[in-house]
Amino acid sequence: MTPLFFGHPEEQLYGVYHPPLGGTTSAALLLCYPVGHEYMRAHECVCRLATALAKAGWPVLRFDYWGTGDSVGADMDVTLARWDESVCLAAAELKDMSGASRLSLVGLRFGAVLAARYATTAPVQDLLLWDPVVSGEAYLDELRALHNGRLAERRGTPVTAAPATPASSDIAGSQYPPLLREAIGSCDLRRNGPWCSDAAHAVRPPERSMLIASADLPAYRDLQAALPATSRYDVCLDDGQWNEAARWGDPLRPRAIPARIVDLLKRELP
Amino acid sequence: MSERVITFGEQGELTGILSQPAVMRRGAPWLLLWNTGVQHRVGPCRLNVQLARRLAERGIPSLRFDLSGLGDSAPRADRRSGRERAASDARSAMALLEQRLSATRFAVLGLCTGADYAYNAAVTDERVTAFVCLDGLSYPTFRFGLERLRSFLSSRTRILSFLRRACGRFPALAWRRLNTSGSRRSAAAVAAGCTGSDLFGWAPPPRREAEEAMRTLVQRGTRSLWIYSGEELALYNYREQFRDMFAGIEFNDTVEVDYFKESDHLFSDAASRERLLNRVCLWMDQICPEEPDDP
Repeated sequence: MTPLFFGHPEEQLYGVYHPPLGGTTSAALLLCYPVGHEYMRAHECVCRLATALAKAGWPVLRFDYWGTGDSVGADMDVTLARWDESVCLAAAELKDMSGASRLSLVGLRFGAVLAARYATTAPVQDLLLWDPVVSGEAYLDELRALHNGRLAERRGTPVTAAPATPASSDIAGSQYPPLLREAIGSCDLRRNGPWCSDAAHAVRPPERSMLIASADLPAYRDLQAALPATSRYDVCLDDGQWNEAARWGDPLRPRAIPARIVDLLKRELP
Repeated sequence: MSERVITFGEQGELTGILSQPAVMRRGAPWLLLWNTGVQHRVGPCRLNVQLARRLAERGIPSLRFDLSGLGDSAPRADRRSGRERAASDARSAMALLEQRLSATRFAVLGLCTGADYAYNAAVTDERVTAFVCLDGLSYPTFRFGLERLRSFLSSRTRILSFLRRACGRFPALAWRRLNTSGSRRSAAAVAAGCTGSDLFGWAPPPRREAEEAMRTLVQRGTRSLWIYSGEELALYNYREQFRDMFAGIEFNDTVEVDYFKESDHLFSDAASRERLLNRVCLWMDQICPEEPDDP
């Protein structure tokens, strides 16, 4: 495992490269974290997944987007375009480090949206969406509900935190400035994913798309309907309460889904 | 200000980020920042990253790193307790900074379990000349009990819930619960992953041991800043509790205490975090008052 800074010298992004152990494959895997408080909750399980995938023979890179984790940038200056650029830079870095000719992406929560957005601009072999944020607008509502649920738990004691409204930037411990909220709100995997034929995309859609979910939710069934017929939809009951007020600072430790992802990729990828 | 990745430790198992100022302040200690509970080194709501970068702008360098077995640091092969591992990792970090960057003085900052590890590092290693504990050690006092009782009696819902769920038919049990719950981490701390794990659990030292350690720290001249949030009411519920906890000790201006009553345990709202960052930065300024070296 190699931790590193990469990207523009003045705008360094942090990542961890996991070289393949054992057999080698022609594809490299880029892991896209969630954002906001979900990034902290997911960090441990994404590390475990990266280690497992590297053990199975894939070169893997996990990385922090601009303005998140150890990467450069202040939370208040984050834009969706900067996150998109972070994914592009990470993809280039991974190809460079691994020498792989093909790239597959695994995205968790909003990371699935960013992975899907990348797949509209560059060739992607496989796109695996794990508990994806299907609708950006619904996601922002979820975050506000979490924030307000936390405040309700502290009812009766003085607090500096204000309730989250549609005009709030400070939501659930992270900053979502107006332009970012607007951009997140416009994201909808059912309407503007790389597989949507009416969207003007620069490249062919991913060869394979996979959706893996910790619960069978209506939003995931809707997304499945929008995916190509050849895609997979797997429900693998697991720890997936990303926005539960009582556990919001607690790492989520799904076990079954990471194991399923390794199995799926072993089957699907050469 | 520049940042770079560094790996260190006996087997290179520890991973961290060095934040180095363009111009280092004379006499500034290197600040060590690490995990809050089992959260990785960036800190809750990116607290450690923001603090490291602000301090670097003020000429104060830092190393934020993952303790072994957390974040990007590999686990150690031994089966030592979290407290022992943290102390050993802190020594590895200090050795690295001494050898490669000629560091001589160190400060440590931690939140929740991380605060207890910071306190322990200061107690066990004289190279640590200053430390910051966020929601660190706490012991119940007489007034703490009164505040708990007052809080209970001011809420009908709490009384009913307490009677229904906690005491049942045994008032003695109820009284015991009321008076012992302060020795446990609150639900918020549990939610932050700070307790309940075999690897990373921590039992605070007995009060007498802590008193002795505080006396030693005062004698050494070790400076400390203790900040408590308002979400740990089952542990700390009034501004002067720290002074009352260690009532027999004369701190001689080595200790500063603050109570952020409106903040949650993770200082998660922007206003609380900003207040905290300013408080810690100003305190760090105080402990290294020299002007920056000429470039």
